[in-house]
Amino acid sequence: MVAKEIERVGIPTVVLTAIPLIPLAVGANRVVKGMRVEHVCGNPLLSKEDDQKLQRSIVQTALDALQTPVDQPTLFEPGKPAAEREAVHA
Amino acid sequence: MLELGTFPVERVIFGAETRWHDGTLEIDRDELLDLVRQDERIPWTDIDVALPGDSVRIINDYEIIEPRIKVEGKGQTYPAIVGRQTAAVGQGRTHTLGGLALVGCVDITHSPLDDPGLRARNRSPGLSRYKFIDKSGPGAVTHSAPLPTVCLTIEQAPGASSEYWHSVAQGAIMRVSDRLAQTTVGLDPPQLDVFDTTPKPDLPGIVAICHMSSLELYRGAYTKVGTAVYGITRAAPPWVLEPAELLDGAIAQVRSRMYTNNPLNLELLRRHGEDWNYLALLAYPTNWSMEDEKAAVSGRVARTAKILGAEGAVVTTDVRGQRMVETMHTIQACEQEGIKTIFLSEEEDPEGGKAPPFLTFVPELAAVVSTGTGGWDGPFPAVERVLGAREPEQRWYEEQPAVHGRYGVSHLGDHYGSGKQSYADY
Repeated sequence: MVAKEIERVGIPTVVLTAIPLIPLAVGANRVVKGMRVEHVCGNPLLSKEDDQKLQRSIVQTALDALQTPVDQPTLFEPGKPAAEREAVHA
Repeated sequence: MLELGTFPVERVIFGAETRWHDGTLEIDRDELLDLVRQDERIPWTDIDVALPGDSVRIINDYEIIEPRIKVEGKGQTYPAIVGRQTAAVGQGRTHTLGGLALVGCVDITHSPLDDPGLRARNRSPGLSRYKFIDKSGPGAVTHSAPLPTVCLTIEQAPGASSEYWHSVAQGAIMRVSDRLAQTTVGLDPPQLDVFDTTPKPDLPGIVAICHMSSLELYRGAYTKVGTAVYGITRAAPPWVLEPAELLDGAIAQVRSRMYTNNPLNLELLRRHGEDWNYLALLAYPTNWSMEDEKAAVSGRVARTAKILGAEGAVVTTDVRGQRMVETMHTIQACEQEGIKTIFLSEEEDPEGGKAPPFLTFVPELAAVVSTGTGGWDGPFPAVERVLGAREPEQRWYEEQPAVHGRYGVSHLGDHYGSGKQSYADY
């Protein structure tokens, strides 16, 4: 909801979340899928080096998404091309 | 097939012996207190009676249970919790003290606050004052409010962790529950119901799908705290339960009575063989924290329902927040399997139409039955007695503010349509 309001005044936004169904349902424009509710941007089970790579790829996906023009709720998954998602309920 | 013999309890009185006769449960208080004190770790305990209409408020409720006992056939009621027998239940004959609520309370005044849920609520004053049971007045609306109640209070030992104390407290509650149910052994039940879910021809098959929040996410995989299916609390793919297993307490702890006396399960059972074949209750302990896990296990729930032959499903959930996502995934997956689905749930406060009733939704969500928002305007007037703590704080005797139903706050906790509040909200 906050993202939609910021977007409304012309500032591009990204929602980075473990649970994309929630922002996609309320119609957020750019949604990036993170890991888990407890650790959205990384995975403590990985080695420090591997976790850093994962964190970097998630954050990079968010930055790439921010620069991608979209006209409807769109899901970005780290390591995958952006898939246009239909707004469940805009 | 399960035979359920009901011994209705209309009155509870203290007496010289513990027995049931003609709708009256007489309890020998000292006998029951001795049963609790068998565990020397319990520093203080008390037993009270609270009847509907009494000026009583119960706080710190830890378990609400209807005493039941297996009198024929294998197994033990409320199986596999706190060291009880593990055999599958739902067959033979069970006796129950119908309409009695045994409320077990744990007073943690002198203990460390290490329960993740309680700690979170205590950080926000607005979240810590909504959970109590009034026995009289306009605020007597929770599902145990109109029931004659035996209230057992156990003080948690200083320094004991909540995980450790669970076995102590739940164990004591079960000793009292078993003793009370034992009063029915050898007596003819005034009411006998037979539950046989053998499928009949030419009727549609239906299932109930109950999402139940697991505490695994907060307390670890081996926790024994929280709603358990056969003693296991972990998030898991669905347990396929025969509906009669619930009547024996296969789902237990926290609010065991909500499952033994579940109005949805009972109504689906009663109309089995007439309007439908009630194939199974799928108990789905959930709280996955990855979207893919939510989607995968919810998909498995729908597949399981389909394999069982379901054409229809009633879906419920017992907590709001991100748990709603797997609930929606289940509804979506069921509809995609061709299973017609109804969602029975508490909803968020829609704030006069400005807010959505659920955290999220899917296009397949077509039929919803609301059990209200969980809030209650009260008033909750001042009371003469407060049960559930050794020395209740003075504030609990005073009038309580209205409870606004919202995320994390449900005074009623009614996910199955037990009470009258669902239409009171409208």
